[in-house]
Amino acid sequence: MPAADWSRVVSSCDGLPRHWSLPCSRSPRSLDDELPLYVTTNGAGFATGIFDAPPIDGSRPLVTGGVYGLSPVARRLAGVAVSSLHRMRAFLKLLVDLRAPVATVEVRASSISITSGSRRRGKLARRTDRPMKRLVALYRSPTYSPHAHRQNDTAILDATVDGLERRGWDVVRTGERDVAAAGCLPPRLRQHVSGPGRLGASAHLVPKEALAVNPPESVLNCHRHRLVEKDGRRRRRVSRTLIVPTADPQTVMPLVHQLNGDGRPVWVEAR
Amino acid sequence: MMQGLILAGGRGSRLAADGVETPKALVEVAGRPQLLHLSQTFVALGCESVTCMVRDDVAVEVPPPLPAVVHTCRTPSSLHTLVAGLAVAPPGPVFCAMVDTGHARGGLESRCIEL
Repeated sequence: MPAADWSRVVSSCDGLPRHWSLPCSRSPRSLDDELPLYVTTNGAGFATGIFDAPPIDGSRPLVTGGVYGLSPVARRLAGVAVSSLHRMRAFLKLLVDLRAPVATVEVRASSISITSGSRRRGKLARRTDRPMKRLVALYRSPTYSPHAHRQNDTAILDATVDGLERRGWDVVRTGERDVAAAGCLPPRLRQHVSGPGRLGASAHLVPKEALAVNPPESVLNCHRHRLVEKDGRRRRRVSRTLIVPTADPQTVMPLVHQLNGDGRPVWVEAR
Repeated sequence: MMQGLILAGGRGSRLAADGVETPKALVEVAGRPQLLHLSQTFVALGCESVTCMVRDDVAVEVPPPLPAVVHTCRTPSSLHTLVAGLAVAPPGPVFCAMVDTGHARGGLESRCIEL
């Protein structure tokens, strides 16, 4: 990335009233990140959605990862959010969900040659001539994970995925909300799905001869999934939940006001 | 005034899996640890301060006159490392990058590459 672009990124988050700035590229192949984030934007360049996989609605998303600019407000929000969230990308998605201003700064690719872990693994797999085993790591919606469960569940899945990646598995991480929003699984896995699918189509990912620890039908049978689907048909919305650290409840007030900005109810849980 | 923050709190487990035992922050690029390259970049970009968050079992010294301060941490994710860094970084807006952000021409670093 040329020096001028770096300066543009820095100046975009210096003294402006936006919460977060993301340098983004138009080309997914130009980002040296194993798990880039795909960003959709509005006409003013603010992020409208952040996804683990490219959206399939025909839009041409930006990609980002690893470089951030934070306003003083974003600094405070990060300190609050870390009590509930485990991953940087989850925090970015929360900011967009809260309609916090996340500005994108489009930059060009540069000509450096760093081999990312995924490319390295791909080369290793080709060298050993062994087909890579594939896995979808599906993070469930944080809405359904109160208290410490969210961190625990994420940490368990992270540790499992890390271990499998070290053993040569090709893992795609995605989230329940991303799958629901995109209407299908990540593009790399669509070939395994026999037809356009919604979340239910993930059942096709598990071959009959394979052992599934937590098969898709279990997810679909989860009463919360049914409840959300049922309420959606009735045009009712499920209340969002915000976990508040009891030691310093006032720090969460900006989040409460933002969550409530559209008039929808907010459940606030103390921990 | 912008403050710089470099996140290097990870274990470097993927590098280790590929046979690189050196902590990620200390992996040398062009003869110097990439942490130093990125610190210099932040200074060149006008950051008033540079805070480096490294894992607590990594010994890092930043030679003067670079205005970088190294703090150690043991955190479960980059978000936790970010928050730990924000807690010790001077007030104001923060420009933040992962330590394995690459190295581009002209001495400025980028995580972007052209394939």
